[in-house]
Amino acid sequence: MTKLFTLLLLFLIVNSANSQDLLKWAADAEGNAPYIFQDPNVPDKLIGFEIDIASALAFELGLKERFVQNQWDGLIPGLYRGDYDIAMNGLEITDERKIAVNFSKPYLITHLSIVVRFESDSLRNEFDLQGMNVGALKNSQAENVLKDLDGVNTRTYEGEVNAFEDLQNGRIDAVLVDFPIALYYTSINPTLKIVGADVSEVRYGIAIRLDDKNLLHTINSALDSMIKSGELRRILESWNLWNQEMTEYTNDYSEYDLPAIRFDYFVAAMTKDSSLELLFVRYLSFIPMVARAALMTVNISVLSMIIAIILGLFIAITKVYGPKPFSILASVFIEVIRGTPLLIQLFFIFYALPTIGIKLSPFLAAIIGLGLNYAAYEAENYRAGLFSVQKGQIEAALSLGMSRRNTLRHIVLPQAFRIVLPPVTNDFISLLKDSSLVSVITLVELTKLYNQLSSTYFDYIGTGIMIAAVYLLLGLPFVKLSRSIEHRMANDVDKKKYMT
Amino acid sequence: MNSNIIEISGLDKYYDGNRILKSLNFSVSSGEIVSIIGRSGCGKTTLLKCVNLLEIPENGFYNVNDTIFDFTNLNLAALNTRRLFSGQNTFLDKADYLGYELKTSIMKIRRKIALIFQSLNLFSNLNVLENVSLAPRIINGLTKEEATELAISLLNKLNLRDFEKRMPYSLSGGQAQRVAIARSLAMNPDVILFDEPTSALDPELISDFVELMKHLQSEGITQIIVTHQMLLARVVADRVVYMEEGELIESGTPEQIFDDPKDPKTSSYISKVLLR
Repeated sequence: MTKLFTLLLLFLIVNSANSQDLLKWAADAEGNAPYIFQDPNVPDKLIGFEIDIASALAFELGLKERFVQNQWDGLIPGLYRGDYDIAMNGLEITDERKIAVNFSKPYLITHLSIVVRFESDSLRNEFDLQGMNVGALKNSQAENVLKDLDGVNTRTYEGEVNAFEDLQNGRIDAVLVDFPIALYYTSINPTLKIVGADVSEVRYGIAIRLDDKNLLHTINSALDSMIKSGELRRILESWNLWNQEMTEYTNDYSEYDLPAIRFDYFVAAMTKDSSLELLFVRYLSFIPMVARAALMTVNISVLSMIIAIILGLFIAITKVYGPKPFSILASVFIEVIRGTPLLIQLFFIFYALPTIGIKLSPFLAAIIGLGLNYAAYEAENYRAGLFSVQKGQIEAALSLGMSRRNTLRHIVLPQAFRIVLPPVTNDFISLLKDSSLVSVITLVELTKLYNQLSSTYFDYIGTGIMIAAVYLLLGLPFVKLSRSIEHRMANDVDKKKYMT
Repeated sequence: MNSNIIEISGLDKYYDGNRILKSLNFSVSSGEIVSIIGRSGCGKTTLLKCVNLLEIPENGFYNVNDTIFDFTNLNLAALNTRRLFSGQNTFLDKADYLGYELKTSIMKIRRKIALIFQSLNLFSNLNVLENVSLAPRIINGLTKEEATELAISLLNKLNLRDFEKRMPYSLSGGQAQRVAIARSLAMNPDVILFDEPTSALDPELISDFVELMKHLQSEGITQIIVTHQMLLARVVADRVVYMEEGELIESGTPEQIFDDPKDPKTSSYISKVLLR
C-alpha cells in the first residue's frame, strides 16, 4: 500500500512540475468545430483556429505551448487551481465573467446567427423569433439575448449538436448560436441554413487569472503584434472567419483575400462519402484512442476500488466494533458520503481543496474521490455481512474460550466474505461506469472520448455501441472472477457434503 | 482440593435493567449431575451462561475450578465508562471490558466449563472435523495433525465415524448434538453445561443421551442440565434444583423434589407438570 501511495505521490509531483518556458492553455476539445476539435481524418490529432492562435501566441512569446484538456464549465475554476495559465475556448467577454477573470483584448469579434431548417421561411432578425421555440447553448451570450426577447420560448443545450439535431427533428424552430458554429454546422448540413441579419456582437477573449497582471499585459502585446503582422488575419482567413467586424477592429482594410484552406479541408473531410469501408477504417483509427481511454477507465476504477475495499473494511469494523466516538465518526462519514452527490465531492476535492493548500493531480483526485465514495458503500456491505453471521455462533466460539480476534477471523469474516462478494462485485461494475464522472476534472476516459468522437463525426450510434461494448468487456472479467470464487466456495461445501 | 467444583454466591444478573438472577447461591460438587427445572424465562439459561462466564454477572462471588472471582468488587463506574467508549455492538465479548488479567482468567474458565447451546450453534462455515478441531488448534496450540487426530478419535467415540467432511446443515438433530458435544470435549472440559439438550432429539434417542451422560460422568465430568423433560431430569440427575423468577427455590435428590417437595412453590410447579 505504501508503495502504491509513493507511486501516486510521484505521479502527482511529476504532473504538477512547473516549467517556466511553457504556455499552458486550456480548452474543451469536445467537438467544437471550428474552435478545437479532432481532425476528422486523423482523430488522434486536435485542430482548430484556437489551436492555431495558441501556437502563434506561444511563438510570439518564445514559449512552448502545452494544451490542457478541461471540461468547458471548469475552464475558469481550473485557472485558479493553477493547472494552466490561460483559457481560450469561445469564452465571450461578459461582465459576469469579468468578475472572476481578466480578459485579454478580443482575438475574434463575430456575432450571433439564426439557424433554421432549409425549407423554413426566412427571418429578418431576432424579433421575428417571437412565438417560436428557439435553442441556445447553456451559459452563452445567445441565451442572454433570447431571455431579453418577449414571447420566445427558449431551450438551452449542453452542446450545439443536440440543439441542431432537435432543429432538424422539428422539436424547435430555430437555433441562435455564435456565427462560427453556425457556419461550420450548416456548411456540412444542407438541411439547415443561416438566415437574417447578424444579431449581436460577440467578443472572444483569453481568460487570465485576476492577479496575473503581467501575463495579461504580455498576452495583449502578443495579440497586438499578431494583428500588426497580419498573422491573426491569416489564421482567421484560413478558417473562413475573417469578417467586417475584424476588419474594423484591426483597422486592416487591405484587399487581399486568402483561400480558406482549413475550412475547405473540414468541409471536404466531413462531406466525404461515408461508405461502409471508410466507416470501418475510421473505427479502426479510433482503436488506439479507445485503448488509451479504456486503460484510464480501468486504472481509475481498479485503484479506487482497492481504496474502497480496504478503507471500507476499516470503516465497517470501526463502526461495528470500535470505541463509540470512532464508531460515530464512521457513521457520520458513511452518511455524509452516501448522502451527497459524487459529482460535488469530485469538484470539492479538485477545486476547493487547493484553496487550503491541498492540490491533487487530476488522477489522484479522481481515485481518492471515487475511492472515498465507494468506501462508504463497501462499509455498509461489510456491515451487512458482519451482521448476517448468527449471534449464536459467535457465542459458541466465545464460550469455548476463543478470543474475539480469533472468533472474527475464523468464524465471522469467512461467513461475511461469502455474503458480501456479490454486492461488492456489483459495486465494482457500477464504479466502472461512475468513473465517467471524472471527465469533469480534466481526465479523458471512455465516456469523455465518446462525447468527443460522437460530436466530431455526428455519429452517436456507431461510436456509442463501440464504447458501450468496451465497458461491457471491461466489466466481464471481474464478474467472471467473482463468479468463480463463489462457485469454488459452493463446490467446497458440496465436496464436504458428499465426500462421506 | 475443594469437593465443590462450582461454588457461586450472591449472583445477580441484569439484562436491560431487568434483574434476571436474584442473589442466587449455587454449588455443584465434582462429578455430580445436576438437573435444573423451572418455567421458561425463570433464568435457567442465564444461569448456565453465567456459570460458563459467557455472561458477566453484576454481582457474585465465584469459586470455580479453584479460581476465585469477586464480581461484587468490580468498579461498576469504571466498567460503564469503558463500555461507553467501547463498541456498542451486541456481539462483542463482554469480558473485553474487564481488563487483561480478569479477561484471561475468564477465558481459562470458559475452556474448562463447556456450554452446549440449545440451538447447538455449530460453525456453519466449517465441516464437522473442523468444527471439532478448531478450538484445540488455535487455543491449545495443537498442530493441525494433532488436532485432527484428536477430533477423529472423539468423533469415533460419539458414533460419528465417516461424518468428518459433512457440513453442519446436512446433519440431523442428534448428529449435530453429538458434534457439538465432541467440539466441547475437544477442549477436555471438567464441566459440561447442557441447555435443553433433548429439544433437538427424537424421543427414542433420549435414552442414548442418558447413556452418554452417564458415560461422561464415569469419566469424571461434572454435568449440569437444564430441561423441561421431567423424566430425564429425574432419571439422570444426582440432584434436582427448582428455579423460579431468578431465585433458587429448592434443591434435593430427585425423589425428594418430585415426590416430596418441601417448598409450596416447588410442589405447585411439580403437581402441574406431572398432572397430579
